[in-house]
Amino acid sequence: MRRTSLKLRFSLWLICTFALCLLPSQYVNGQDEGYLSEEALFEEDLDAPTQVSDPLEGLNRVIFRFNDYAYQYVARPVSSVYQLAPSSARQGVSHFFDNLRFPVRLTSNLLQARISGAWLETRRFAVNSTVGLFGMLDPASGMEGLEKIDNEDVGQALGSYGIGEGPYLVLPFMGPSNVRDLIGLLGDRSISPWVEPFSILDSEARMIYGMGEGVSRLPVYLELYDQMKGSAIDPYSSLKSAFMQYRRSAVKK
Amino acid sequence: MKVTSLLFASVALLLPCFLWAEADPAIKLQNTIDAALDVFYEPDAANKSGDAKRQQIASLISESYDLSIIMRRAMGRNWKKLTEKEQNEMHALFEQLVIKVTYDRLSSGIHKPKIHYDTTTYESDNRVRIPSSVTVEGSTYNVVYRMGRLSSGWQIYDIIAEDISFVSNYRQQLDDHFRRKDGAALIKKLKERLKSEENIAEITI
Repeated sequence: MRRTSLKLRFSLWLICTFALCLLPSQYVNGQDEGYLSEEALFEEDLDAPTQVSDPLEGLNRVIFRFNDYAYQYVARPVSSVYQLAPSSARQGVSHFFDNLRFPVRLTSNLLQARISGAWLETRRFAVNSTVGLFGMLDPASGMEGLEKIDNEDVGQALGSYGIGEGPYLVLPFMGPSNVRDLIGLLGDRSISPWVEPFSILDSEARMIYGMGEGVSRLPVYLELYDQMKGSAIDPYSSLKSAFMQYRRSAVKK
Repeated sequence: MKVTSLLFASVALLLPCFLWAEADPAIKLQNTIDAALDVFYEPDAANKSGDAKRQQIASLISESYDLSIIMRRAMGRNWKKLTEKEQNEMHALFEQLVIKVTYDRLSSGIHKPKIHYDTTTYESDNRVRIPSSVTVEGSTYNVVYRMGRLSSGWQIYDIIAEDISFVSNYRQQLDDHFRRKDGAALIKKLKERLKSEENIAEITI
């Protein structure tokens, strides 16, 4: 009995020794080398990515409040009604308008000399406009080599030329922007054959297009807006930072 | 005796595995996220009250990670503008805010998000990036966790969702605040903000 117990104790000691050998070194000898200093982490300079020129902050905040009111009392009820439609129908509408933005994506890719991106967008447009029933479906995304790529716009093209973003702006109804993206927006509109100033549609069709595109985007935009607002200490500054980080990253890609 | 010894031996053998999980930032992160998702999507989750779930999320976060790391990074040099009392209050309020944000994000979905973790990149011996993609309600989002090895273990020091840094976003908000107001106003704003959390429309802009 005693012999068995000794054997067991020896086995146990062996197991424990083996187990301790497997421990990561910092748990065994308690060394504190190689740790990141908390002070270094706290004091790390984040100014470069966070610095945003906002000389019009006062005016921007007024427009931000106005937009918030408009989203709350105009856009949200419209979005709620739109969301009564089946999600497959809403997805079809969203794909349809996304497909119609092809000229902007194509031109923006070409402006940045992204030939492969332009070619891919062209093939996607061809497939989705035909097999995809005028763009209401997105069969291209399921095909190898035709997967969706990041959207390009004129604002990004201007950024890729090294043109500065300029001061931060809040546009009525449209939300966050900056001088470069505002110019880019005018460029996008000039390229698109569906909206003014160079539209091929008559005024009624233009209005239907504008409303349809706007409403189809509302649910996603409002959800993002609510998430941002719900987690922010200062929603204005939070949206400003999120927008500028997102756009800077889009230009870099 | 035999049973006790065997139990002890098993624990001794399993101990490195647990500690390894703690030593590997990706495993620690995945375990925490899985546990957080279980709060909302495990079979009996529907029977739990919102408060119970919120409490579970709070415990999970505070047991796994030191939120003061993210808070201090978000505060940056503004931290020194607070009095000691305000610093303590800020710490508690920011923790509540992060728990609220996490709870809101996780409770808003209908279907359990699918998370795919890519290979961890070691930026140095004590800094890693863990890229992941989260698929929820048919949309996929890229989320990168940045973690550092501190004396308290691997800690998250930033989360970058769709190229938007959590820390930089709060830093902007706090920098903007301290350009015009002081620490007392920030504490007051945060308290009001957390009070009105149930109704987004009530949030003062």
